[in-house]
Amino acid sequence: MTLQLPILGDGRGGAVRDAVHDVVENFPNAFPPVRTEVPQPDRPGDLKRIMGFFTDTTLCIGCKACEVACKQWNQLPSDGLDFTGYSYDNTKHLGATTWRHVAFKEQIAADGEGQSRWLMMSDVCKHCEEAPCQHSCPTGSIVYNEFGDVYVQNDICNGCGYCVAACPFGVLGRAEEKHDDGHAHKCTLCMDRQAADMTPACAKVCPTSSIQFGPIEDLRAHARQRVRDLQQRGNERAYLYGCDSVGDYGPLNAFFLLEDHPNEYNLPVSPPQPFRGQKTRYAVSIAMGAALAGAAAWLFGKEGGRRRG
Amino acid sequence: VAKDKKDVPYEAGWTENLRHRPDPNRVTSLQTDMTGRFEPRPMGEVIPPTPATAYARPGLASPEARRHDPQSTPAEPSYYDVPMLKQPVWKWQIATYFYLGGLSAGAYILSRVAERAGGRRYEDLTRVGSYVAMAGLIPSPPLLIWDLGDPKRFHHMLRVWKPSSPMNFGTWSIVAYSGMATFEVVRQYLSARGKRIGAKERNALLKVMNNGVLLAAHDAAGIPFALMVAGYTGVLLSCTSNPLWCKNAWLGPLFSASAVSTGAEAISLALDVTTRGEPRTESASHVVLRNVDTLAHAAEMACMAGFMKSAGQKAKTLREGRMSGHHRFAKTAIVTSEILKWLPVSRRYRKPVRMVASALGLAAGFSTRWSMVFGGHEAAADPHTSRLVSRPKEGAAVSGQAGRTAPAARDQWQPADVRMSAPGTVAT
Repeated sequence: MTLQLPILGDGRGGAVRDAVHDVVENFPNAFPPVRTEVPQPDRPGDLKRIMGFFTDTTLCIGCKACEVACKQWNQLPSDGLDFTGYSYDNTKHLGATTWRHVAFKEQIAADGEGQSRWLMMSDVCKHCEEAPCQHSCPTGSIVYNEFGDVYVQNDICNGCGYCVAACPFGVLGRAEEKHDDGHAHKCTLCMDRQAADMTPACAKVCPTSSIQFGPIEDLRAHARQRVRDLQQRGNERAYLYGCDSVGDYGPLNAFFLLEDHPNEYNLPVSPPQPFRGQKTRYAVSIAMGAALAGAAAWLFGKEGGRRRG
Repeated sequence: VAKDKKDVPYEAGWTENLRHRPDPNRVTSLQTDMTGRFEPRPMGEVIPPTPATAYARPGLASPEARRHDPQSTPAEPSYYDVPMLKQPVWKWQIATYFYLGGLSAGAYILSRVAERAGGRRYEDLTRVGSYVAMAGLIPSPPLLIWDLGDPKRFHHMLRVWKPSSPMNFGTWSIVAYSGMATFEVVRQYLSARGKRIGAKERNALLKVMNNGVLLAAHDAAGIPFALMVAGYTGVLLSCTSNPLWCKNAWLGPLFSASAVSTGAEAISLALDVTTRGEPRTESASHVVLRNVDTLAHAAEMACMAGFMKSAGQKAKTLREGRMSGHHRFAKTAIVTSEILKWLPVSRRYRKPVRMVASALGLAAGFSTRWSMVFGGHEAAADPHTSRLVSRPKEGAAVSGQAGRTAPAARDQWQPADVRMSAPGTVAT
């Protein structure tokens, strides 16, 4: 955000204004960052719309084209060949070098009753509207970019690993292999492709439109309609995960249409928002130290007085 | 449609380095056109589920069958029991830093408070306390930098002022605190040397440093900064989604109390090591340190109990898991050191017993930090525990769902539990 100070007028004032502005804005920073212009919604020519993913798991066929396209476009290394025995899923989870992950859940009906089935879901960073990773980042590396998505700036990240512990979905990873840079990495929602007016690689290759990309309001409206359609056709278990909110957690900009309990897809039922109540915890913590320091002061004073007298 | 057809514009300057790549975007025929495609269907009659479309819930396999069949349905919904959360990347360096940083801040606080409240009577405590604070502080930045994924970028923490991030806040606190601790240690050193060589009055620097107004300002800033350094680490851990730490308000006070107790023990031990013999009556410094230590230990035990109670099942690793040994040792060592400290022993054994008690207390503080940091690793790696952190409390109302309570088991779960789209409630 560009800071506009009312006392400095509306942009006139030239060098003095710039100097004052610089000091005021950069005052607390020992090493002021090089400022980049942040797009403003009311400025003509700037992007206004928040872009996101809608992943419809009822359409997913488990082809893993999204995983491959993601790896190719973002030049991510292979995960190695590691057979897990978990159906066709040999990737297991998202991480520093896996930004799309196709989950395969085989559900075998017991006693021959009903229908066995496969749940497939292409998992991705949720690009939370209120993202704990962005909140936790001590370097200001994790930001919301001009498309409203959570983005790790890799020229800033110093690999402290706070975001890895903060993410309630277990998305972020720190690249810790021998020749890795040691930074945190995650889905960028193909910010480079979006900047060039292109669809993210995974949504582009998805052969069944299970991964859909677009302005978040349009996606939400479409997703609601899709759930209604599915329910009309008899799939009463279809529901949206993260379209509005997940329990007490805010909406996700990459949300899902699911058919079973979220934990079946390794998604949390009600993800915690760990920064809620942070100030109270600070207050309690410092109050404990202050109380003990006060007690120590009293003891020092009492003992000193007694011994002296 | 038109924007998909046109060439890649490469408008942004930083896309320069992408130009050498071939365009991987070859599958345009597969991409469906989004615009105007999603017209709402007219609401028709809801078709009841038929056996062909309805999915029958699989029965729960017996424990025996489950053991041999990785694809059998486990008792609770899960994705093959792959842990949902990532393990923290913080290792022994961070556990050690939490310990040393807290110890340093605790010793600094006690040393300053002793001079403020007790005056010259506690001169030895004040001086040794400032040295202990410095000794704890010096290894801290290297440990923190060592743990970074990209150590040469450690200064990026100081690139912004972002107090909403406990790590950024803590880094700035340490920077400020280290300035205060350095000031104090220089003052104490000059003061001790000046006394020995008898040239105190000539030392202009010492004169400036001993200025009453400056000292008052120094304490007014330094003690709060030390309190922040002692207390922010617990808040940092509580601001994560890790099952063991997440939103646990007891962690901060636990670390604060542990900082004060380890600070007192370190000063006591340092005083014992640097003095020869034991006077007839126990020195005033030792008497007060013992009282402060007992208070801090009581607070620590209370916070530990509160932590275990509020963490509940999520603290499984501390109760019966791999960190239970450290946890038990911490509690036992605190109790033992208290017993030893208050034991009425003859003058001959007073000093060694006190030293053993201090060492036990220091070890307990270290085990506390170690079990908390590595307990976080265990909790995130355990599939059941990693699901617990995101499970609504049993019987608690699900947010936004009047009259609904959180589901206890898989069979009671309904899609509406994640606040969406029971038929008829869909918003368009």
